[in-house]
Amino acid sequence: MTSPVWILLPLCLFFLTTLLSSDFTSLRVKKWGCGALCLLLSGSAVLLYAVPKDRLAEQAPLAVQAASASGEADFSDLIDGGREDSEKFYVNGKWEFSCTGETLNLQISVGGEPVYVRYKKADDKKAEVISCVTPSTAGGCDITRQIRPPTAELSGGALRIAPPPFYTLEKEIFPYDFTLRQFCKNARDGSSDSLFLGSGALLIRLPRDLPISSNLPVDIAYEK
Amino acid sequence: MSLLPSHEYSAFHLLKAQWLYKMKANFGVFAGILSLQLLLSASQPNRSSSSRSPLNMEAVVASYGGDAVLVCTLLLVGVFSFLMTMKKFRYRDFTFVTTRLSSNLSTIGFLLTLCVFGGLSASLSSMPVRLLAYFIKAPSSLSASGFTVPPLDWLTGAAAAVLYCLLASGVGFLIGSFFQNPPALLLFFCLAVLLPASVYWLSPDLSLFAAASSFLDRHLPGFFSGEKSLWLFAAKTLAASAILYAGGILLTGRLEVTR
Repeated sequence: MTSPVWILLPLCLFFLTTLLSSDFTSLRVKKWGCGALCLLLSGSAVLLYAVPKDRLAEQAPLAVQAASASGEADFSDLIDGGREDSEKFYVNGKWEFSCTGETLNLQISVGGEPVYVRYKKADDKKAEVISCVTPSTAGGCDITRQIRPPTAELSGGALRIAPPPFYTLEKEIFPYDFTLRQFCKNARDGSSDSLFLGSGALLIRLPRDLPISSNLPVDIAYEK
Repeated sequence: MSLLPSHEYSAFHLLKAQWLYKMKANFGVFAGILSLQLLLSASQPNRSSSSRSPLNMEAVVASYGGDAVLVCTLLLVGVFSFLMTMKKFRYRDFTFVTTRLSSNLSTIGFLLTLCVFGGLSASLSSMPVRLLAYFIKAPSSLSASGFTVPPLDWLTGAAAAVLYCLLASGVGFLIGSFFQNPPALLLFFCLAVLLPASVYWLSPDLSLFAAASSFLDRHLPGFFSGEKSLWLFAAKTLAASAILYAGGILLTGRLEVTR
């Protein structure tokens, strides 16, 4: 949401511009106004260099930027290989539930994302839900780890998976001016306002041969 | 009573007096440009957003660039340089002991001051907004890249901004001078617009015209903006500005006092 500051500040500055450029304003007021604004500019520049910057978001490695820009979604390492550490995706949520009932009712309301259901090799009475997302970048910064997973809960023999409450991720970027981009070789034109959102997937691992019913058509396979 | 002046003033003193007078008379322009630059900076950020419904999220990228401020500063400087050649501003000079040359030189001196001020302040104008963003936004949402510019790079950018302002000012001054001299404006219009247009209309395939337009298409846009060396860029812009200002002086140098 736009902060009120970004609405009030331009309004105040508009009145200041009108006041300072008006012929009816005395030279004395103009000089004071101009001096104050110069002080504001130079003071801000000095403060900007002085404030700690260690908590600011670093640029994502080029490999991550390239992966997010390509838009490819490959979850095979997790689905078929059982690997949760891969450069191709990030596991942002993992749950484990005890399945003591005869059957399991899957209630999935995360539409649009692929859902993979797999029977484990053993009947350990445990159901697992793993949520993963492919790399996402905003303005060159990695936002993959800030993407929230869906919610999963097991109650009364029903495993409910729902999307998280709606939320907004904001990234503020500071591109160099064109005068800088023209002459400075290391000036990244970037910090571009490009936004690449990856895609997510759900893997549901169930105890072997547990009968299920589902609100969505799902294909079940056995883990290799 | 003697009509002879009690002492003689040097040209430098006259120019300085006129320059000071113009600075005071037009001080509102400095204050106006400064507050307008801040206003433009604060009117940012430019937002681009994308949402993904299955993930139930919206991602917003807010960009705090200074390009819009720089372009507006160039426009303002150009327009004000144009206006400085108008009668309203020129007639003020005749409250002094002056010639066309000293009037033009003091105007150019004032415009140079405006360019230096405008270029430097345009390069600084995004700083308060960045600082404000630092304090009102979560630090993790701010990109570290470009948040601060190394001082040497900033100086380079500021110098380039000043040079671009000089160029815009020179163009505005020359165009304004053309408007003060209708015969010259007519001649310029014939040479620069009617002649090429008629040549093209008569023979679109004329090899000379085609070669000239192809050369201009290839080299003119990149002559200034494609230059990667600051020193060469400075030499080009200073030379071009000097030519533009000199053209303006030549055009208005022989006008009568009240024209």
